[in-house]
Amino acid sequence: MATLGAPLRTLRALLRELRHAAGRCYRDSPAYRHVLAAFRAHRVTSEKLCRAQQELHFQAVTYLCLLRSVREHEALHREYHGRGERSPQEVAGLVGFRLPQQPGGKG
Amino acid sequence: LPRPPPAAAGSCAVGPCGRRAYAPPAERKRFYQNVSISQGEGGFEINLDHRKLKTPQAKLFTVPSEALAIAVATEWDSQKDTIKFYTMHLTTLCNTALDNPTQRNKTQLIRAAVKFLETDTVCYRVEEPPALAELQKNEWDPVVAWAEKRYNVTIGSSTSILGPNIPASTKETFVSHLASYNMWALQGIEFIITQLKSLILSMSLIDRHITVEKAVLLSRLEEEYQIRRWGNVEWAHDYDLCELRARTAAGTLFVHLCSESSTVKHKLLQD
Repeated sequence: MATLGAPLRTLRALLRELRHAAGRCYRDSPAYRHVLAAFRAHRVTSEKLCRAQQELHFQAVTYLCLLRSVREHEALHREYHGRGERSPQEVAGLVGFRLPQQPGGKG
Repeated sequence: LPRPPPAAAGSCAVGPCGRRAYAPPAERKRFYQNVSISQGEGGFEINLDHRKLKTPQAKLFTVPSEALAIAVATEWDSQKDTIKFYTMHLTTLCNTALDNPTQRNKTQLIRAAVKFLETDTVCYRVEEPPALAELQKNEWDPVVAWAEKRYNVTIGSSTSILGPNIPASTKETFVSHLASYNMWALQGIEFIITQLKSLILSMSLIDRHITVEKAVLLSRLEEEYQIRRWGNVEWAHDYDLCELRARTAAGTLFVHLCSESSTVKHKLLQD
């Protein structure tokens, strides 16, 4: 089993990511409620090394990685990704021209 | 020429006509307010306002696991003004599992997955520079050893251009192990293998032996070495790193959610 760290830390980071993803009413989102319910349900166990608990924690860490990487990837995409070519209208506008309006279309 | 709809498109096909070759496709705006989940006959469905989400091939979007449905709903809900399909990895995976656009059956998927073992990243070693060879030995040998022990097989590694010589019994073992997963989970497994370029790292991840971050690091070991040597280029290296992490994490979560069945046993407290 991979070394995962403290479940509480994972939970807090996960809820923070969900807050970023959801927006204003993040506490009502199904993901928020599901994560909290899942963590609470697996908290009490009589076994010392509960396999289900570790599996859930691994899932939580994986989901946290997903949310975090998607957010970072989107930020990088916004900053660095090209915007593509300009449209003919924009190109004409660069030198102060406007494209002619042809009601019947070209040709 | 009309452009084909993007891979994770929702209910309507997007097809702007008469666009130039290098202009970016017109982005779909977010056309829904609320995203919710409902349970139907085949499983859990996603509702965008009152409309039911459909796959690119216009099938009803149904997933077997509630947690997976919630995660997909969160993806749709986290889109702000425009819908960025390239960030919705779980949705894409579900669409692939539902539509099976490459039309492969279970045997073909398993064969494609095990075929990767012949060109597995962690088995391909360099001889120079010596620092990189050492790094590969220290980082990759433990994972190969773990896989050999866990599955009781021989894999080994190689510095030749032909790669390692994988015995047929090893391939058989992996084939029969992968056969124990259902079709959905197999789509996910094949996806992870394609991303990480390694069957061993993928199995190590699915068996929860390593985390996603560690698997991605091991997959990109040479790149990390070169980055440490020559410097990091944010718009290329970090971009690729985040994308690989996102896809691998989505694949792993997908596999686990599609192959688990959770039951809650309540023990009565005895006073």
